[in-house]
Amino acid sequence: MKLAKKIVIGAVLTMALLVVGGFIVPLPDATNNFSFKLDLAVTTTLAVAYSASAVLFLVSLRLYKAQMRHAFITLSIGVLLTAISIIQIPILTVLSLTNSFWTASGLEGIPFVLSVVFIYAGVRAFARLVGTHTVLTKVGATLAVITALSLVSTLLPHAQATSSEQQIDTVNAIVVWLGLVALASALIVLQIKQRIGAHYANAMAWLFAALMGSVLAILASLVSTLVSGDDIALVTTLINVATLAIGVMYMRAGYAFTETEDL
Amino acid sequence: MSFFGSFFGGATKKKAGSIDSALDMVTYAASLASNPDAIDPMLDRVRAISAGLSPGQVLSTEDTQTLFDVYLHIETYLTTKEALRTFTAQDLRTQFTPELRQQLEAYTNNTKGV
Repeated sequence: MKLAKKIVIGAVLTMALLVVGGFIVPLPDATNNFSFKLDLAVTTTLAVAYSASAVLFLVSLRLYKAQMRHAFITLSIGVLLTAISIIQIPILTVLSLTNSFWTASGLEGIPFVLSVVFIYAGVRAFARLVGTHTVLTKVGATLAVITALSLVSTLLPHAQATSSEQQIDTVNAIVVWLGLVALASALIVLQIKQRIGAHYANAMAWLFAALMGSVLAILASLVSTLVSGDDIALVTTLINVATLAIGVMYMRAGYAFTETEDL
Repeated sequence: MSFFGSFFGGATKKKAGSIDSALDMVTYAASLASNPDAIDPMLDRVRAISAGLSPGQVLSTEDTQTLFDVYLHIETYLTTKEALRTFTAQDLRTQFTPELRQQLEAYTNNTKGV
């Protein structure tokens, strides 16, 4: 059996175990409720899906030339950081660290920011390799526009919340920034897909689908914050459940890249 | 084909050693280029041949030789200039039937002598 298939089967079995385990594992009283257990099951499952896809992106590295390997490794680091970003939230909750310096100072946002930056850098390197040059591959211009739009987003009206105005505006600006960088990456992948040889088209299509899924999840999260304020536990759970599909799409993209190994 | 099928569809995977026509050979090699623009001018002669073919029509010797020539140019591109990965002529040719490989080698030997 091919290594890629073994990774997928292993990941799916682990995900199934985590879904069951998330509900039966003993937890501290404060977190021992259905909503948190569902979040725990979903986020750990999602983290496994992202980690497995990062590994799948690396499986075929030996076939590729140095610059392509560099692009793939950068993309994989981004996907792995997404897994870390997602898993840190239930871990902090279980360990009662939700009021720790890491959370209170906003440092928990760093893995999210780094993940989209690495994914953008990987996708951009890939685009340049295959001769796709667009305005979105110009780092300075793209990030300047995205940062300006993020700052403008602080003017968006939002529902009443217990957090301060400044906190809400900051979080929303970061979320918009993450979404726009992910959107830029998705659009670059779409442009690559339209140009690249048919041998790679399926893998690029799945990577585009996964990135667009991430953009939609970030957008849903932003809209729910604007509409419902900071009481969005249920909405967050629903978004997390929906993002399981994104995790599967990332795995499919990683697997599709391993299929390009076969001539 | 549906939008979904067309969007997610890639190159049709064929079993190793199953490509049996010069036209499929060129199409297959062209699909492996990560930057199709780089080989596009080479494909003009292929387009001219396929546009003139009626359904079921067998390729003339002249057309087959033109396609072999185009294939060899694409093969050289893939083995020397392809940006993403390393190809070898041998790996590429294992996808063809033994008969087609033999014809290609005969063509290569003949043109070397010219």
